Amino acid sequence: MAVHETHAAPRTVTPEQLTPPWVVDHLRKRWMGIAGLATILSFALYLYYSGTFEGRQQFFRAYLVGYIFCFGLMLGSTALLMLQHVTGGKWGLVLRRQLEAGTRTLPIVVLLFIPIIFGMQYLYPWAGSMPLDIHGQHALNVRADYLNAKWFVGRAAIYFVIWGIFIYLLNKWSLKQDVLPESPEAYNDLRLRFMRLGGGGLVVYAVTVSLAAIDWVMTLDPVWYSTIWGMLYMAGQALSTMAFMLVVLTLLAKYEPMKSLLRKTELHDNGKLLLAFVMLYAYLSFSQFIIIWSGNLPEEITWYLARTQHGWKPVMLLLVVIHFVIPFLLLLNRDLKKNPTRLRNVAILILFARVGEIFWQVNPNFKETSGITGHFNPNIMDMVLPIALAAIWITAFFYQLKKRPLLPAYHHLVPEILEPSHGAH
Amino acid sequence: MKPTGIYGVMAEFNTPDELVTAAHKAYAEGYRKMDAYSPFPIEALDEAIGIPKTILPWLVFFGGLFGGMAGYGLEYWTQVIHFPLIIGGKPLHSWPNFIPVWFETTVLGASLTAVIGMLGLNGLPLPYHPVFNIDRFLDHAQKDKFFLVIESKDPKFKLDSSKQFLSNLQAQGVWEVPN
Repeated sequence: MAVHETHAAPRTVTPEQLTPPWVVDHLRKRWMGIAGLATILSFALYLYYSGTFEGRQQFFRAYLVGYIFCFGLMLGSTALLMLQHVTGGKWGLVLRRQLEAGTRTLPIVVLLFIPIIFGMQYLYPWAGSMPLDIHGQHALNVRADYLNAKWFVGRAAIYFVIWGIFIYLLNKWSLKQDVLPESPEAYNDLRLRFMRLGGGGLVVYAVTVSLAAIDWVMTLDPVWYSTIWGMLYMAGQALSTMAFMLVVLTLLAKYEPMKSLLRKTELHDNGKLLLAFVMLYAYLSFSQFIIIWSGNLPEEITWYLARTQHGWKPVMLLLVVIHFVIPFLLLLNRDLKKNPTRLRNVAILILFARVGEIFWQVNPNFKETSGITGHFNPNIMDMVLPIALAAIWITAFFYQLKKRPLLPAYHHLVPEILEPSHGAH
Repeated sequence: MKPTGIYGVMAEFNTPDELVTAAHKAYAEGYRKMDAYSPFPIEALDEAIGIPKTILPWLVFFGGLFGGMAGYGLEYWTQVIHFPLIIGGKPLHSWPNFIPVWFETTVLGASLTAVIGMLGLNGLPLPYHPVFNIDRFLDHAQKDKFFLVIESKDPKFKLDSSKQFLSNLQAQGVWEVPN
């Protein structure tokens, strides 16, 4: 038995052996088809509904839900990528190239922001002509220097540039691990640079994602504010991204080279992280609720009243179940986290729950013309537009994923990944 | 009748791979009461020596359930039955307020069960173990060698044949372990 020799010799792999399988391109084509159909349908729906102010508003509400979801996948990829550079570990190594592909969808996410600029007046009370009560009017007068159309677009540009710088560097340096390092010192130097970029980047991320989440979602309500909002978005983006990346990882694991590279250990670790993010989101979400519920102040509690009345209560309860209870109970199970198919099913459920959660955050803000809070009356666009946006994003993701080997071949942890479980022969 | 005064037979291996392979073979041979010793955790070993899955997760689950119900019960009893007090104009049974304490007592119940259950199931602390009678074991088990012990409790255990079996697995050494 050759166990002795193979154990002693370091295991290596070349970038050529790590080429993404054909299925990546196949999925890109398939999602491109879905994206095309859903986009055409979206345009048709816009034409059909654009006759009235409410119709146009309905369109942009649905658009915003899809946009916030895709934006979360892109920025969540950036955050998790930086996190794995700071902490190290094999869990991040197997996801590394997927996360990088996710970050490189930034240009698409910037392009998709443009319709929001045109739809601003239908979405945000500070930009539009929506009827406001005296409190809302007062709040917007006070905040007018910050919440106005020009500065809103300016801030978005600043966020995108800042994220772009980090994404550019993370992806540029990563290519250096696809070639044999000149010396151990040069390699260590690169590792340290990655670590510093990631550490600093996470701080910048925390600030910018908070501001962006406030700009794009919280200001849908003229008065309401929550100081935990940014953290909710960080946890939500991490959860969406982890769920999405696990779906892709378990699909890739059906084909070489990931088939022989993905071990139960790393799959299990990433499943544990998914559970952690499910719990973190629920924890933060409940923290926000209990503080506002306990305080019971008119300018805060209305946000929850709008989301638990007029037909929204079943939606909220459903979200509690599919966003927390079911994934939490299922992911407690160790065998499930080691089973690619079952883990993927839970991750897909979480992705649907994430879209639902954003839908529930965005839509009750819109008041009917009579002045009462928005009723739960989903429109066909609420389904078509998120599908269109997600399909566009996923197409871009697979397009980027195909571009690079599935692992940085000369990463220092690759030999450990290549080491099979002991005695597995 | 099994030989008395013998805990089992021990074999020494140089690499984790050899240990796992040997454990697989011993299991295939029909041995069940055996244990493996290694300086670091080897994941494949659990399966190789065929130890049954631990019931600890279920104990922890029910410990947590008990802690949670006890915590919630305490809150309900104090707030609603024993000393009803209206706080912040809320109903007496204000379940959202109960959740933080309910959560904490769930964690308390689960973690206490985990620690106590772990100690109860693995028998620690254990001041004496027969394997310490082997000098090679004392010197190397925590450093650089890997050991497999077939215990005399095993129905298939026969001193001579078991020793012979382990020797055939290319062990570096085989010893009888006295009780």
